[in-house]
Amino acid sequence: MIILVLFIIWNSIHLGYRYQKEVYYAERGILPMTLILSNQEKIDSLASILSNFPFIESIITESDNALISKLIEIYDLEYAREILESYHLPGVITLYFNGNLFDNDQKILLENSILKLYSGIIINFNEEHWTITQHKIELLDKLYLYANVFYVVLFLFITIFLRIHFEYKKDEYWRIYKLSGGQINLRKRSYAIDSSLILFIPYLVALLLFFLAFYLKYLPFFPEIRLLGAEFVTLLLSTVVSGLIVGYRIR
Amino acid sequence: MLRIEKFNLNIKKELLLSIDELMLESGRKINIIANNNNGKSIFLKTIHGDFKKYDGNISITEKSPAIFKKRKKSILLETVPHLLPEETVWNNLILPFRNLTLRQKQKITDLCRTAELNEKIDHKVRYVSYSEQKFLELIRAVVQLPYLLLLDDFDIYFDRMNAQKAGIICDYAVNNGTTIIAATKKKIDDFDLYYRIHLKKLLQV
Repeated sequence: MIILVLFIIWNSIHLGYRYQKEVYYAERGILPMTLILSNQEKIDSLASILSNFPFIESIITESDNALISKLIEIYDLEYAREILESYHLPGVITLYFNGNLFDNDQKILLENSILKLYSGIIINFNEEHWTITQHKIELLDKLYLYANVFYVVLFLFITIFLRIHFEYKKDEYWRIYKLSGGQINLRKRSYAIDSSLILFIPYLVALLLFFLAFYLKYLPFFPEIRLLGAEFVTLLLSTVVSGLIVGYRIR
Repeated sequence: MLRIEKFNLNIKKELLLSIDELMLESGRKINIIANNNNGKSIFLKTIHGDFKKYDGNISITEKSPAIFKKRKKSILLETVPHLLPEETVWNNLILPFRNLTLRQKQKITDLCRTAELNEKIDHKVRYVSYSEQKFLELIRAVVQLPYLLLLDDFDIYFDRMNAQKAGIICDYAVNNGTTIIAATKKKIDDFDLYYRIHLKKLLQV
């Protein structure tokens, strides 16, 4: 039961981390990048090149004619259409990103690629908001790492301590059992069965609970397989260490 | 058959007990008589396999070795009872049995009746008397029908009346091929063979 609770807490940490990260990714994704070009003819070719970047979710291009129409519509400037059309307005490309894929390295790569293609281009991006979001993500990653390291230590400490404690408590029973004429190997067998149950039952029950919660849509995500694997390995380690510590008693 | 040959038991390099040869057939009741500090308890522990620092040879053999797959070689009842005080008398009685057969259950009940323990079957062991605890241990051991049943200080925990009841309980095992070796300070009745430890030697009386 205690191990089951420990697993549920641990998986909740994973899910909490993932949920928060998705929020930050979404924050990162809603920041558009605006490219302003004086050369109208290059808008389409640049948009075509940019569409090859997997982290760009959508591209909106706007030519000078479209911009003029937009200005007239927004500010009701129909009377000034002729004046506006006499000006040569720049073209605008607005890029929207997939927050999960668009990180710092991708941003630098994108900016360098754009400037390499069209040196006169103006890149408009909310750097301050981007930096804050990036900082939040880095902090979250660090916290998650520390939380996991701490939790692994805590998990090992609790599970090993409890196993040793309960095994020591059974010492008197097994001593009397042996002296009463009971089978000498039974303690060893009983320990092996207990270990198998402790190893599999809480783990599988926790998995089932999370799967059900995910299947019934109470949870937006299911814990990643590699994390579940790490949890199992930790419990296996705890079982092995406990076995080494109490091994001489169960012989 | 219990066979002991050229046996020397030394404690701190000093000889405590010596046996040239001792052979005991199955289904016998043997009483070993000795005063304190003559090594009778250690001798029983040695036969049981709990004390290994001795010279010579102790072997428990049968024509068919398969008999030991079904039966324990020996059970030793020491002076202090080995019981779970917070468990009931019944739970202590059935402690060594993983799969208690109906026959064993019936036999335990019968022997408890003999020992007048049947009314306290649901009592916690800590609330029953010392001699009742010893009866409990004896019944538990007897029902398992070990090849050897070793009883240390048999006369300490059973008075004459209780010794008679204990004798009846022991007879069940003896009739089923168990050899009983009881170590006492004084000679007790109804045993087949009597041995005395005298001048550090085990001699038949």
